[in-house]
Amino acid sequence: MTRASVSPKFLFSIVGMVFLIIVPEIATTGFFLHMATVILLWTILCLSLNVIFGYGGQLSLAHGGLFGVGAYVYGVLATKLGIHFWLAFPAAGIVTGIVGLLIGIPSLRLKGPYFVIVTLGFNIILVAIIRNLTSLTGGVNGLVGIPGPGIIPGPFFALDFNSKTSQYYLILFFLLVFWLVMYFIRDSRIGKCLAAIKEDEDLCQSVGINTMWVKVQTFLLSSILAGLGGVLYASYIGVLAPDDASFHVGFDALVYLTVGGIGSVVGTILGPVVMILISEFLQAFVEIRLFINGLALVILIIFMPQGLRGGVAYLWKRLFQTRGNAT
Amino acid sequence: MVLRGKDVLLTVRNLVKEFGGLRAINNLSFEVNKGEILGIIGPNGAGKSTLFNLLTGVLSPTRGEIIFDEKFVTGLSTHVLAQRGIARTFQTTRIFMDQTVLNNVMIGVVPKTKHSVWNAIMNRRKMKREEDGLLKRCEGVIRFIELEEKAGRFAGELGQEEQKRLAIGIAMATEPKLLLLDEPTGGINIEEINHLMGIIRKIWSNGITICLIEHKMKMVMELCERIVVLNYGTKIAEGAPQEVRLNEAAIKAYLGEEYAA
Amino acid sequence: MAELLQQVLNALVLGCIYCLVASGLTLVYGIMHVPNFAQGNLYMAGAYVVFLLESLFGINYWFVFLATLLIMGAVGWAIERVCFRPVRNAPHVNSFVVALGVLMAIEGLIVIFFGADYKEVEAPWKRIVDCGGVTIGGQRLLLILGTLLTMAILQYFIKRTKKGMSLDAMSQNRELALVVGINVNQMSLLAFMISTGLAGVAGALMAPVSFVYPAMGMTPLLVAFAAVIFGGMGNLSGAVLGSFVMAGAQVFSTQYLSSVFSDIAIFGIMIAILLFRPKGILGGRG
Repeated sequence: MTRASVSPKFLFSIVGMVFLIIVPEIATTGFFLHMATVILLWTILCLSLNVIFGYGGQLSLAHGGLFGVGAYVYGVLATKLGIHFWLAFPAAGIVTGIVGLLIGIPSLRLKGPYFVIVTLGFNIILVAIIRNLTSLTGGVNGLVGIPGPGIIPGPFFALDFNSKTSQYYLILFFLLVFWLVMYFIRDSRIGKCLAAIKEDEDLCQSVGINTMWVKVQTFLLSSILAGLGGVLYASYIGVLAPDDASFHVGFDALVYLTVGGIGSVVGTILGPVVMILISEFLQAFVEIRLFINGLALVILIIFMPQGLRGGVAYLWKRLFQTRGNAT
Repeated sequence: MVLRGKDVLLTVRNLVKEFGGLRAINNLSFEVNKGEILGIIGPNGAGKSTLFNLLTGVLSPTRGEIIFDEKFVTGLSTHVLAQRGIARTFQTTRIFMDQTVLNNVMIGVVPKTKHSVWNAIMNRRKMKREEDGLLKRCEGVIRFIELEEKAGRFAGELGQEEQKRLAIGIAMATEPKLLLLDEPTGGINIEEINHLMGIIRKIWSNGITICLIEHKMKMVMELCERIVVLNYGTKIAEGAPQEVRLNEAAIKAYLGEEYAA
Repeated sequence: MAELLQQVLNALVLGCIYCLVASGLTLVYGIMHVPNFAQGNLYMAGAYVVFLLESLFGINYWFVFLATLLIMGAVGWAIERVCFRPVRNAPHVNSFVVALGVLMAIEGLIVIFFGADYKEVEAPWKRIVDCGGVTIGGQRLLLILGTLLTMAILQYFIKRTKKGMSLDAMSQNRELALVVGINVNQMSLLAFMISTGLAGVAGALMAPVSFVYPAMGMTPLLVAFAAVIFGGMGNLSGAVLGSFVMAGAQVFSTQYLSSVFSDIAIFGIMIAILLFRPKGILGGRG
């Protein structure tokens, strides 16, 4: 392979991107488009988890809650205060970021399992708070009638986001932006710091890296991404219930991310695609979903901890890159 | 030409470290002068590594003061001290096995640059422009520790002595004023020891102050201008190697101690 | 006054359940350094096994109880060997993920076979005892006595039998245990089976007292974690103490505040301990 030829990864990304863009065209039913949109939303949640877990090495079980916070803040701002999507979107992101700091700063001081348990505890508290602020959040009944992104009036033409197709593109747009952010982080200095901290945090400190600060920033970014995902979800679905913030949401995101490939960008969409398609085929057996998810998690982390992305990369190497192999 | 005045870089004053009932460092006081190589020796369990842990903020002293570069630094955290110019290596060679040699050294260079999430997203062009400079610094360090041919290899693939050099390189990348080396030649053969000693001399001749924990008396005698002898956390002797050699207390402490010549 | 005593009794009953679950949790953490997130659902599984055996075969509760114990021990064996042993030498996080996967798989399996609705198990001892204005159902009394018995047996095992003492030694000093030749595989398996057995006992004791439903294991899991952290990870007596403290906190904050606040209260305590006294109130070995 000469330098000039195109790498398979690049090719695959282009094909994938094109496919994502033409989905609304090839969607034969509204349901297909809906499923694709749901997959994109899960991808955003998975990528937010990937930032703190895949890059940062910290398994957060609070991300269902953070997703829910973003969704609810938008829901409340939109239904109770009539604030427009384009103002509420960043506002919800900021609020989720603040919640993320409140959770992250104490939690990130803790090592290993303690961090996991504490984030789980925080998620429970978040749901409890959501359930309790009935006047604001509707309590156990949740919120209904949450408006979508609506119409942005413009100088020459208005951007109309009332159709499902336009909402799909809106979500896809943000997904692409978030993916870009992930790439920036991964290849940057802080990305290198994160990888180093994952391997040996003490060594990092001894060369002068303020590991706590690095981890907190990463958690902050991760929280904001989860929250923004929640906003997009709320604006798309239109209804919210406290279960949308439950730790089970975080568990599912973990499953999807593990299936796709923890630490990889493509893994964030691979997982949701595979798992959601599987659960669609097992439509008749809705109860099986939880079991399949748990099983998938156990099997993958034991046999393919790099997920499908890792599996494919491994197979590719074996099949196509046998240079220097004397057989 | 490096000026070797009698300026004091590090002062340790009445340092005490207790773990519950155990006193690991007992009223320790000594100074490290700018530009010198100070040896810290003593039998196992004398508190040498504990001392390094105190100097690098891994542990905080029960009592006493540490003054570095004319400022009180007692109780500051590890990364702050590293940023101020105290670098160290560990007794067990600690490097990033899963990273290339270049990336390893780069981790030493990064802390003094802007490395936030914000900069990664918003200031990409500026970060990119600085990359060249950072890369040059890394290459400089890699040349210094004589690992140019292995720059692209993974740290895990290096030999023992190469890994030790890499660990020193990572510490050097932080541009320290004081370098603490904790038994840098543990577990390698004579040739490799001599090679490493050469590197340490090179570091010293660049004006960096070095504090060296060592068991091998030959190394200590040849490299160090002064030695501090510890036993049970207490300083029992201090001075030029030749003086200490004749010191009774020091000899007593080593009675029954086996050490490589 | 009777009101207060009733609440104390409630706390006692809950405390017993948490105590069993937490003991298993802390044992496994002390030996394997794995926080077994699936422990709550193992407790739930124990309750379902009792339900299944009793409703299918209509056997006497006591036989069902013993059968459940054996079945849960076997389940523990299987889970340790199949799920946790392969990731023993992998990065720590992997075992966390495995535990979460097992948590989900167990709940998923139960939902497949039993559905999500509430089940009831008949209590073997329907007497209601009245004690100075405080009523206690026979099953709840049984629960308390059963817990005492189980913990006594556990204590005996740990302090008096060879295997148990090895377990104790290993949870105190893993490296030393390895050096003197204690078999890590064996110890991990033993610890896990005991832990699952404890969860099973808790589930079996609780089944006739309250409803049996798939989500019943989550709160005990989280309270048990809070209890284990309170007492220090790996510290058995700490876990026991922590369980009753947490049960008390839960019952009284539910009574005087609201059930929502009781969740917040328990996790507030747990988080506060982790931040200010990470080794637990009693100091753990982990």
